[in-house]
Amino acid sequence: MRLYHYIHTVDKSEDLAFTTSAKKLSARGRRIQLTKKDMQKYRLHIKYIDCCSLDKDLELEYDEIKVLAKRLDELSRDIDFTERRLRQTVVEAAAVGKTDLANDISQTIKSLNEFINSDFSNISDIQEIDTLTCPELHIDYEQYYTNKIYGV
Amino acid sequence: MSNTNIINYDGFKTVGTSTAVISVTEIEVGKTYTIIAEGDTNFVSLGALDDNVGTVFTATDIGVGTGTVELVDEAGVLLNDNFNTWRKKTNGILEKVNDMDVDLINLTTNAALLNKVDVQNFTSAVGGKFKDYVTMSSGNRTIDLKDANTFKFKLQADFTLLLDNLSDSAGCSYTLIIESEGDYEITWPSELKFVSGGDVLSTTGSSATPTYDILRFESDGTNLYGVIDSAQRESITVQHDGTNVTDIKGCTISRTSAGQYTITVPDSGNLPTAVASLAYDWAPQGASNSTLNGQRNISARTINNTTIIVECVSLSSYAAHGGGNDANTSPFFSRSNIDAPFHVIIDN
Repeated sequence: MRLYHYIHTVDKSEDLAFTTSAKKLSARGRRIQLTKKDMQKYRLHIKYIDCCSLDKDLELEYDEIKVLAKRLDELSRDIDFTERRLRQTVVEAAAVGKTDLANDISQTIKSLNEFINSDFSNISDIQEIDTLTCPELHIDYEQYYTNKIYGV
Repeated sequence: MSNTNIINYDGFKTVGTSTAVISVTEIEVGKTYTIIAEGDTNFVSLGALDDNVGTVFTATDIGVGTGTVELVDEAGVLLNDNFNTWRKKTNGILEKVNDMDVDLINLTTNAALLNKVDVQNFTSAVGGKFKDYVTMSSGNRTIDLKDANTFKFKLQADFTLLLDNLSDSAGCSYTLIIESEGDYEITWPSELKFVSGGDVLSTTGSSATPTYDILRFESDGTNLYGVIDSAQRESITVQHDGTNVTDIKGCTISRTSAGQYTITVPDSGNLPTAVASLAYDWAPQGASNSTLNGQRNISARTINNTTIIVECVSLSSYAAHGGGNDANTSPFFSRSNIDAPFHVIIDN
């Protein structure tokens, strides 16, 4: 049987919800019904549904600031996690007298900080925001530096 | 309805054939007859008031001569008898007919048979009659309730289901087996009433891996009343990457933000019970895939008879450097809502 997909306002607020139903929903509030093509088109809008709104013509719009803030919040958590692990590593490097390595680790921490403090205001497309990432997060620095510190 | 499969029941009136008319020499004393042809028979001597054609009498003797008679239903059934009276007078003919391995009989008056009670085999019998429609293409499709009592069809296109011979189906039970091959819709006839669980079938299925639903109905001759088997137990399988949902049966699921879902179920008058579990994707999470402990959790809580809230969260704890110039580690904790594939079973 068919599934029906809707984006609609919740209760009397302007907050939106993405709803899937096996039955056609009766008209309540402001809503749009999504076709399969729409589902693909609005995939990221649905992902960031709490950052979207329906305008007076029932066009689905996203708030780029809110979407960016959510994405940066995710990145910030990962960066914070990585930094804390690296801070432990830099202490270990200093303790064994590998000053150059400690400086290198400090530089990595600094790069992470610089990334999250960068100016992202020129990014407004939801696709670009969703794929925004910090390259340093994709390297296992903890293992890399631990190997260098202890020579294993 | 057509007058097919007339039952010749010994002890009850045989209708529709010439064998109903017999010679007076075949009369059985004590049975009631109608004079069909006078011939040279003295019907008064057999217990009749006169010798006129049409006179009804109870035989007091076996006749002689060329006169003919027709056996009147010996139980004295009248056309305006209600069902229970008819059943009583016929000494439980229904049970006897059933002994004859007839699944269902239909009682009707029949003008062609001079409005005499007619016993017929209604071909949409209670058991054993099956019709496979194989494929139901788009448009209007009609199920003839006289054809069978179990129907099967493949759902391969949107179509509107219609019922034929509903008025003759009172007391009959029906089963519909639906093999769903995909994203198609059935528009149900207004006479088909779903008693509980709604009218929503399984919402998955493909030609390679179809899904099956069984619907059972009882007829009162005006409507069919029924349920979809297992409709009371709404099983919802959600594979949510933000958009994809499968097999939600009669429920509706809304996502308001990452990891926040509201499931609406049909109101059964009771609080539903829901059990939720994370379906899969058990890989390590977080930076460098190094977070494992308590990484994802799910809760399902019942708010009222129709509302269940499902929440997926990512909970992490880890030891890391807490700052300063020492090598001491400190515990850190984090929580965030997250979309994760999950499965909810709802007992409604």
